[in-house]
Amino acid sequence: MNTLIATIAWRSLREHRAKTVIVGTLLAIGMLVLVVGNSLMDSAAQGIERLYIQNFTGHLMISGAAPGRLTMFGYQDMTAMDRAIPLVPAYAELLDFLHDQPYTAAASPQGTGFALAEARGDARTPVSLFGIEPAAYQDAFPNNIRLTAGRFLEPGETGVLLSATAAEFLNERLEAPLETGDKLLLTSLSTIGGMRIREVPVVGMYAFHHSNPQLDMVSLVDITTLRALSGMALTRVEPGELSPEQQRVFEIQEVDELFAQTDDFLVDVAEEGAAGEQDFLAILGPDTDAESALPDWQDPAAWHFVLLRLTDERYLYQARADIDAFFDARNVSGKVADWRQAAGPMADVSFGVRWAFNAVVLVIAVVAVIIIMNTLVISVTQRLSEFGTMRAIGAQKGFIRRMMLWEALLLSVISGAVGIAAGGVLLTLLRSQGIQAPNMFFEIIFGGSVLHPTLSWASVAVSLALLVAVAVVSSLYPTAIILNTPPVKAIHSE
Amino acid sequence: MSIVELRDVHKVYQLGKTQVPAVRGVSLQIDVGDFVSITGPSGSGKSTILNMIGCIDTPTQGEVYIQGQCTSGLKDRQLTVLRHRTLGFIFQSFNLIPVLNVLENIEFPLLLGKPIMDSGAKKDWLEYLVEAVGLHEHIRHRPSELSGGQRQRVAIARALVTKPHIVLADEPTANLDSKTGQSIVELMHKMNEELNTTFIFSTHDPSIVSMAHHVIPLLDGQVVSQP
Repeated sequence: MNTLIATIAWRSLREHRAKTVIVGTLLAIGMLVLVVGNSLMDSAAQGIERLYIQNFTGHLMISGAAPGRLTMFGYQDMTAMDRAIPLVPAYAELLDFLHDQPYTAAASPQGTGFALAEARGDARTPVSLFGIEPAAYQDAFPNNIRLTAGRFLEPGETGVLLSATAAEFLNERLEAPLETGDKLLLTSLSTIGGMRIREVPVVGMYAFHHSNPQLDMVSLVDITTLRALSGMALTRVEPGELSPEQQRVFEIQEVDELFAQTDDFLVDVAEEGAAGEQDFLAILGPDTDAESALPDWQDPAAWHFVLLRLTDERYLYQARADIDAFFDARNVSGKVADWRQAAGPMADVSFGVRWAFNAVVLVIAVVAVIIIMNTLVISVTQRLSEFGTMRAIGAQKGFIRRMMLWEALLLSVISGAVGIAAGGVLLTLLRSQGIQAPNMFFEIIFGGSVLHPTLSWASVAVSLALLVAVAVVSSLYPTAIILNTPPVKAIHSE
Repeated sequence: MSIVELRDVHKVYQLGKTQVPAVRGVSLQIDVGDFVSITGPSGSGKSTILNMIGCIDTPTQGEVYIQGQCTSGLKDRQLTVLRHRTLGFIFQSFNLIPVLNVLENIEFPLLLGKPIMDSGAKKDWLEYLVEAVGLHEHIRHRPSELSGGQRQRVAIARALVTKPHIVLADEPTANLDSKTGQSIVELMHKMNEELNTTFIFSTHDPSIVSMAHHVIPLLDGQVVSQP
């Protein structure tokens, strides 16, 4: 019976050429738009994915477990200032574990924070900071930056690699341009950690090869400085030993008694002359540099993230499962996020555009359904006598439904094939020419300055499915008209 | 033995707010193998009665029996099966499927529903029908390539292809010239005699009425006198 239905459907399409051509052309154009549009979106998505994985996020971002949206830039919500980013649990073990895995290409630890950068007391600009381990960072993301001045950070060196954009902001307010070796005063402020200030030398200035407005504001800083600024310095609290005199202060009940004996707490200063700088230095104790002082109170395992690059993307699921198992085995709360979660809102822009495109496609699909349905209604009305005759001589309603469905499927598949072929030709042309991003917005969407789109078979499949759905939905109402018309009335219709 | 029976059948059409009676209390019986003509002027209810016997229309009141089975109360699917297995139709406007050729049009009812004969028997039966209606030279032609008489011959073969017990022909000669119309009724008569199929046809052509075994004359939706 299906052969008969297919035969009638095919011949009916040929018999009613005008209708077939109108609807077929609409469907083919729809398919062309879908295939080209979706292929562009897929190519852009692949571009942005490749861009982020290779240059900023790696395939996976490992962090401590935390509610809310945690990205490599920190929390991307209103609570960013109110809570600390959790540290990677069992960091040292984790790093060893990752380096033992055959799929690990590179693993780079990273910290993140925000600060106000001040140069020469005159110019200030907010900066986003990535605290890095220079060797591991360059191993994970080789050649992702272009130095505009100075050099890259050396391992263990204290300093900042200032983003060219931040440097430009500062230079606009400075009499002479900022130079390497200049000191930057970095001030961070949060409701949980209070205000922290560190002065660091500018060792270089740079720009990412591929960037966006959010990445433009990122400066790379040594992790020691970032830990200090971000309140990652103290990682544990231990009970202190108090002298009997200090203990006595905490036991005082009356305010007057508090100031009764002050000798124990006051530091002797030179009896002659006013107190000078040396006196304050004496109070502060011997001078210490960061190198010698930090080991006593900084945890070298305090990192916000470990960014993991894999040798091949196909290990993604295995790597996630292995890392989850690693955390479970140690009963610690860790989290593994993919590049898109790590990349934050800018990466979402391109996907947002995709949703917008899909919304437009949906509107087009609805309009197409209406147009095609109207055309089919006219066609069905002209053929009502034919359908009535079929019903009269023994065709069940299911037969009529299948026949209409076959016509819709044949028409959509043939038109779809034409649309795919035309889309393929157009994409080949676009690929050979390349589509230049006219502005930063399109660079973000394209994942680079030029997009070379390729025919996405996934988009072909999705588009074809949508086209078939449009055709089938369009045929529902005309089919209902046939089935709701009594055979006796249908037979005698003109 | 009656193969078709109508008991006090009424049919009223609703035209806006007006009720138009098309059939008013018709009762009749038609026997197996009969060759019956329903006659009467336009608007006398001939087509309405044929449509109700053919189960493509339902009476407003009264009952229609086909092979002793009351058709009122049957569901659409059951009525379709009844039409497919028991009834054959010949229409005034031929009503062939335009995209199918002669052979495919004749074969079409056999491809609906469950097979009623094996492929060998089907082939022989189709050859017989094509030969009987004199269209063996036109089996690959589309309806648009045939004359009116040839189209009606295809319709006759199609109506007989499922070996129905009853064939209903609603003014089968109305769109044909008198000579061709005569030959069509002769063909129907021949098939009636060869296959013992009951033929019920409507016409107001006296020369064709004269060929019927029995005549049911209608006027204003009522049988004027029983045959």
